[in-house]
Amino acid sequence: MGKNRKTTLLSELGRNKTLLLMISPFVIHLIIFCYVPIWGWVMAFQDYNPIAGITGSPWVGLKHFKALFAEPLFIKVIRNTLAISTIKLVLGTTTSLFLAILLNETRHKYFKSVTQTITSLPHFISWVVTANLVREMLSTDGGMVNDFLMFIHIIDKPVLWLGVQKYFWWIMGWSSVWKEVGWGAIIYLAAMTGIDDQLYEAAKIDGASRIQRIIHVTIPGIKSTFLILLIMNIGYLLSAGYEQMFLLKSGLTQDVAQVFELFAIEWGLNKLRYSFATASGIFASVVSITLITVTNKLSHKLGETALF
Amino acid sequence: MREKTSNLIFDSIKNFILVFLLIITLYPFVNLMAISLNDAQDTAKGGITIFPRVFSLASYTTLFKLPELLTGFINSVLRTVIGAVTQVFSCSMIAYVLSRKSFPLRRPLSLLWIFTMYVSGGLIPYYFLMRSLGLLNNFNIYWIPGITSAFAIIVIRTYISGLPESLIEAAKVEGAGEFRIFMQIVLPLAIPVLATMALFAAVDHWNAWVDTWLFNPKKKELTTLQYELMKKLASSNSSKSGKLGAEARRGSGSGGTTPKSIRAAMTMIAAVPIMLVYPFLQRYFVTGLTLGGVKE
Amino acid sequence: MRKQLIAMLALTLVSALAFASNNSENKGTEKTTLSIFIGESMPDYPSAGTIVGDRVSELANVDFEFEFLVGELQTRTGIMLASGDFPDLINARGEQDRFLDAGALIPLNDLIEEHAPNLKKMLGDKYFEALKEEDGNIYIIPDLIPYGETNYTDADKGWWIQKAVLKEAGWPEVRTFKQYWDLIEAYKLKHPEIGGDETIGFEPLTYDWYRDYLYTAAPLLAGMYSDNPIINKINGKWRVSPLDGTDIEYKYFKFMNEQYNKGLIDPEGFVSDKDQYIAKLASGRVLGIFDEYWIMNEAQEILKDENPDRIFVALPLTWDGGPDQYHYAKALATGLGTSITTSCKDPVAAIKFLDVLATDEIQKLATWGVPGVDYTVDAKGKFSKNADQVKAMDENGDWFYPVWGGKYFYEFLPSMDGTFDDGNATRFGMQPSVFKAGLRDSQKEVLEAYNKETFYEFFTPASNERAMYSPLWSISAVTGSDEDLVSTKIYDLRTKYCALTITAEPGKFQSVWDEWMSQLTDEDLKIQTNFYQEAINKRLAGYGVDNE
Repeated sequence: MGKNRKTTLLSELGRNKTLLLMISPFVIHLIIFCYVPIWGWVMAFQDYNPIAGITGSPWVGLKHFKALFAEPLFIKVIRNTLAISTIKLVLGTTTSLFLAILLNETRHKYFKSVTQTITSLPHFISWVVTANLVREMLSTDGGMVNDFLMFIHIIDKPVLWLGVQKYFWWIMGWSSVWKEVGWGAIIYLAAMTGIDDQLYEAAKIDGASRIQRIIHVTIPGIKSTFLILLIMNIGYLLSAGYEQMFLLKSGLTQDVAQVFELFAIEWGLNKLRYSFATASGIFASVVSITLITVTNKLSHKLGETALF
Repeated sequence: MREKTSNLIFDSIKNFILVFLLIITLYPFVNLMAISLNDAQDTAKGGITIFPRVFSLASYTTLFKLPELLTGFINSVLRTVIGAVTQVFSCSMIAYVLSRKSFPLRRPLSLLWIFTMYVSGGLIPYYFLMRSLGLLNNFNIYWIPGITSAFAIIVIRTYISGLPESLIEAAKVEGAGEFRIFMQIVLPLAIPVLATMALFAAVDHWNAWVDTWLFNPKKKELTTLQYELMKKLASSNSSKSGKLGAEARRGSGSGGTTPKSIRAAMTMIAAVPIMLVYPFLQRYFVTGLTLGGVKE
Repeated sequence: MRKQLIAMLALTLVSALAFASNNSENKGTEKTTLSIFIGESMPDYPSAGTIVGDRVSELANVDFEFEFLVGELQTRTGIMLASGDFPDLINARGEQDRFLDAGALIPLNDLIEEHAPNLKKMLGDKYFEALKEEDGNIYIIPDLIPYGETNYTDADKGWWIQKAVLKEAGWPEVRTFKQYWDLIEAYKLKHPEIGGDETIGFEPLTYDWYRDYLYTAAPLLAGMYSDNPIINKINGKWRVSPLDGTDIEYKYFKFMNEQYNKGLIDPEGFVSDKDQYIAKLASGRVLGIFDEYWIMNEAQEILKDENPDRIFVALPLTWDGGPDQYHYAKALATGLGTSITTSCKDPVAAIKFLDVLATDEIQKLATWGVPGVDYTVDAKGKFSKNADQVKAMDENGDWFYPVWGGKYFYEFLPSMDGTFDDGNATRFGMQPSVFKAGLRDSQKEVLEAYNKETFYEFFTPASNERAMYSPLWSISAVTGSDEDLVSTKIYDLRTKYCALTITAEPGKFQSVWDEWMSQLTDEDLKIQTNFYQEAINKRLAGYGVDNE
């Protein structure tokens, strides 16, 4: 049985020699650049000291993993991380998709091109600068958001948005929408070019309105790209955006702003605890891979496109 | 008639939303432009929004005076072009192979690539690897490690999988080999997604500076634009804390730069090339549409 | 399409290979080249050389290759340590102790004795002994070495108040903390707006590490020195005790909370960054701040130019108006500084380089400039600079780094701090004549009203009693050690609860304070105090003082 399968595989490979030839150099590259450095993972099981190196550092078993899970902040950190990245994922994906659909519906060439270019520009503004702008916009001292909300009488005096815990996650979510909405739309726009124009024509003849065409042609046309990106991003749920949190948190919001990456960096790399940092990294990798495997299975089960 | 009014309503709502987005995404950029063109000491007072208050080109002149700027610029352009071209070409080839249903290793190999998005050995093992490969103080470190990117592979693969299978089958019947099918049929059809991935890769390369800092810091001829800018930013940040600097500043007037003004000018320098390249790439998105008719 | 792609790929490879083959080394000068890493950021050292650097190079017969910090210090030094690839000379700031632990630094005692008479003189016997580690060897030479007496001219830090507030109140003698807040309250009540915007009573700076100053001000108000943890002399010995959770802190935060609830403290100060802070100060609407001179000075310069009546004056406040200890003791920051590494092939050349830096000639060249050009020397040998010569020292100018280059050799490599043997200040800003010449009318008005010569005179003179164990900021636990982790934990609690206690709603202060205290464990505080106690004992022992 086993031998049989082996021969089938070999013979199938034999039939696809060209394909094998096309991919093998890259597989070698992949192994060298991505998998060879994984030996660094042994650090997680040592008290790694850069001078002694891997060979000279003492083995400590699961000590660093235990320390990670025993950390009193751990639960809070995971809660914040999942909350912020879920908000970001949902807001980010829907707004980008929405923008891509609107742009796709725009036939005016220059308007489309200008909007497409300009909405993607904030992507190039670093978080340091963005954080500064966010602070200014939300300022109680003549910030645009407070001024506007007071102008339309939603609030009667300025709100210290960044100082209130319950707003913090949403500010993180919307400020990254601001930064990434246009950039995120690019990939959906590219996917939309793959949709056959004849499908639109056919829908038009059937009397479908524009909204119906969006629902019945555009969305199914990019569904696989959408799902693939979604599954990939779900794998990043433990990365809520280190820089953004670091720059926008304050003593008042510390409780809701402490996220996993920030925690791993502050208590790992910044403390030169390579072993602890590696253990945190391994934990994050395991979570990521579990998440994508589960969502991928789910997608499979529902009969949709899957990542692998 | 009803069709027309509903179209009108649809378009006005749509355009309203787009213009709103346009304004809020343009604002930070205009604001930074104003800051970068404003006198640094005056900027420190705050309140710059759309127009500079005290016009000054000091932020730009300081940056353009950086001695290695031209070398950095040439290297950045080179790495961006080389990096983006090699990455897109390799990834589309890999994506093609992984999209072929007849290829038996497609699932395990896909997984192998996908895992790399979530798994990393850390900086130190990576540094050792680069050292043993002789890539330290070497231009090649800018593009060789980035030849394959799991994200690009998956996105391109998804796009290729969406292409009509009949085209490939037809070519096969005519006796075309896999490589020829890839080059002559798949690549041209995938241009919109390739352009997108080229844009993504180019942006990453254009903005990268950490590899220069950690792996190529000693060779001035290997510097990159972003690294030179980062160095300038770092020094404008910390000299404020130096005692000698503080004393020198006492009694000295304006005319200088601050981290804020440097950062604003840097953002402009980083974004302007993209502003120029992106609309050009958008042409390829449209190309995809016209090819639509040929597909079936 | 295909042809184009292949052509592009070929071009790519050719150009990549061309670059790869370009990497051959080209060396071969007679002078030794020293590689120097400095964990601070500065512009690249000019390839054409500088006035100071060329002279150093000539005297020491070496060339140098500087590397300054760009990204995170820990990342860069981590790679150095792991790869064993060290520069010849290293000043890794807070990470220096890791290089010492790694055995990467060489002992300097003999080298100094044999080859570095000027360095030896600059250190003096006292510091030469104090620098010895437990094994009796010197590995690290600190950056700024106190030398001679120091003329202070400005406040180090304090509770700054707007000049207009003092003027309107008729230049009162402000000594107590309560007086300060009463003045602010009265002024704000009378002038609810300044320049059309709301008057801000007090603007806290709580961004990143800047917050440390405001949050650890409690001991100063109690007439104590600003150490965290607290250090007091008990029965002739310096004893460390925790600051967190003490009565003096409770009193301070409770009082600040009351001021906050009176609306005197700007709530936005707890979420804004330094840029916003400086902008608010520069607007002239802020009546009070607590800050270090060198941080707020950016706004002060703007105010001097544009709003001279609203400049700030620093005051040394205490609860009871008694003597204060606001001024820092002049101390040698041991543990930080420059070292020669095991990778250095020519340690003699390296120490000779440091020795040349320690000469009066180079020290003066690196802080004052070229005599007769950048400063004038009068008949008595006193140095002075006119306004233009001071202005030329603008670090952003075309002269400071690219031509003169003094900063490359001063402050982050061993240098003198105080007064030269000839009586001139080591830094021109501390020279009384330069200070006087630089005073603006608005500042003179304040000095005259209080009948003082300098702003330093508002403060009780710095006592050098604490110099031997100071400064605490240069004592840091080895990164990643238990002491370090505990300190970070205590620090994180401070960050959170200092903000929360001050901004607590009326009546809620006690519960927030109790919550803070419930998370501080005696065990952690003990680890922290023990660590500092040992560290200062070690320092004191270096000066021959037994503090056990």
